[in-house]
Amino acid sequence: MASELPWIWLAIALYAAAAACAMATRPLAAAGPGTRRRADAATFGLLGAGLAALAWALATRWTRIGHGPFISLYEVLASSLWSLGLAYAIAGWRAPIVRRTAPVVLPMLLVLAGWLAVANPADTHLPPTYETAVLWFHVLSGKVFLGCALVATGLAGLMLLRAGPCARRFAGAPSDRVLDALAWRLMLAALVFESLMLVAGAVWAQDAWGRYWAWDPLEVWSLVTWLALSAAVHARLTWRVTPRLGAWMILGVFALAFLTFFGVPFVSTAPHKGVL
Amino acid sequence: MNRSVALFGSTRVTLAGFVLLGAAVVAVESWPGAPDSVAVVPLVLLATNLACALATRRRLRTGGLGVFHVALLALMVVAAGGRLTRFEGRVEVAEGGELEASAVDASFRGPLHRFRLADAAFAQGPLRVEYRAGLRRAHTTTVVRVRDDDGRTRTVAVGDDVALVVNGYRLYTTHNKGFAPVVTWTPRGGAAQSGALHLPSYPRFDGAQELLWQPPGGSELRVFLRLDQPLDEARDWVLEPGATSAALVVHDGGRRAELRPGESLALAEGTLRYERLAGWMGYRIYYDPTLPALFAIALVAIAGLAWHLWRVPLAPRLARGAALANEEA
Repeated sequence: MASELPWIWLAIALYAAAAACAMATRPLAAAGPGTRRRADAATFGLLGAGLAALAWALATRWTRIGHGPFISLYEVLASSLWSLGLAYAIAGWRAPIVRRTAPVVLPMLLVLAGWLAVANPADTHLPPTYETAVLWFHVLSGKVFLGCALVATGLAGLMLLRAGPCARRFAGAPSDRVLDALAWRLMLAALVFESLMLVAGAVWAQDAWGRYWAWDPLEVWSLVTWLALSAAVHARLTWRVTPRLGAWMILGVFALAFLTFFGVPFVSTAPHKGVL
Repeated sequence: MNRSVALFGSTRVTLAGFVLLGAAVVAVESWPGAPDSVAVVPLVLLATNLACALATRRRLRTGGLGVFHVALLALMVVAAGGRLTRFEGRVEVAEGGELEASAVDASFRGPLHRFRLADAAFAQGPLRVEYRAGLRRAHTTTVVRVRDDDGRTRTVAVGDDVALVVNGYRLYTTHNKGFAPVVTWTPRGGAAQSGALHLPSYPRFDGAQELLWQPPGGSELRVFLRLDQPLDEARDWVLEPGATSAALVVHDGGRRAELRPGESLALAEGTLRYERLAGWMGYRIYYDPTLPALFAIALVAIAGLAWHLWRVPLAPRLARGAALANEEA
């Protein structure tokens, strides 16, 4: 058994506990400020512990096999679970409004954690074309992009749930106008980082495979995600869409980005066609 | 006129362009036979739409948004220019030999491209490819001798993500490489000629390292390379043709002979001498003079977008403390 697996399982358990804690917290309107602060501390404390366990697992694996988590679905899921958790924890720390989205965001992270639990943890081989600093920039930009989109999706989810079956639970959260403004600011930041990811990816591909664009599945779906995000930004400005419709648009873009990041390895033997 | 320009520059046309471009790129990815030129129509539509929008809407020309949109338009124009002047191809060069321009196999040639890769632009030196257990390719390195325009030569090491740049052409090493035994053929009463026999790609065609070859003025021979140390996939391994020990097996009709480096075989029409074992390297060739400009413009576009994001006003009471105070009031 790989030495990092117990830490992976511990991290998954802590993410699950954080999600359960967020879901079990009493409705906003019914809970006092002190109760909410304690619940937030428990939720984000468990998330922080999960991040620490996952960081240790990633570091252990990295040391053992000699390269970072860039190749297999297992590695991409593990590193994304960590980076998305970290992005959400930082957002929650910097903007308390984001903490209200924990019952939306943490179950999504739990889905990733569950997927990680069943992914094949076999050791991987790092192709020489991955030994470049540009890869780091490419991957880092991608992770910040998805992190921004995740937090925006949490805010969008909160708006939609409040308008639907969970009206009472989120009744005390800020107005849709406030949530909408923050969510779209995050989506603009996501657009900046996705653009950086595409440019860094093109530079890497030129050096690694002698072309900056070759219509491989990940390139195509990254471009489609960029187009969808740009279209959503333009549509929102053109038709002055309501916060609720805007929230659906954010969910759509996030779903596309999620499929691009984690779906493409299912239809391709590796994250990029040239890897082998 | 102005009304038409404004109409064509509307955001509705932009959105239609996004949808068309998205559909086109998905089509290119989904159908292997589809040419990537199907994305040209929506790209031209979007470029025209953006130009019209920039001409008619002042807001799009100012601040970070202006930088982003102008750079985006420039990016599309420069990328189109790159496409028109681009060249893509492949070539294989044997160790000790020089590039032959006529041997370049072009896979794409833009209508404005003027081929400038000259004969003997570089000479192939030794190559080395490392493999990890399980035949997983690791580092590829090869040394080449480049002849510059002023006639001077320089030696450079290339491989993996380091391209050989000659006259603006970027040549990348590929997985395609193999053995090239160097032989000398001396026909009866004629002058000796030396050259490399280009065997199939290795280790991809391990077990099929043979070819049919007819020496000048001689009969057809079947030539086979027998490595002294067979490939062991379970271990780390290095492909280094110049340091590989192998025998050249020659079949001449019903006769079979094994030659070691320096040994000769007398045939009816002449003498074949096996000089040494060398290798050959397959290169991918890419020429696009717009690459530096594309990169610079893309960075400017992103900087413009980031500038715009920085300046976008945030809803009141959204600062973290204010928002929480509002929420918990």
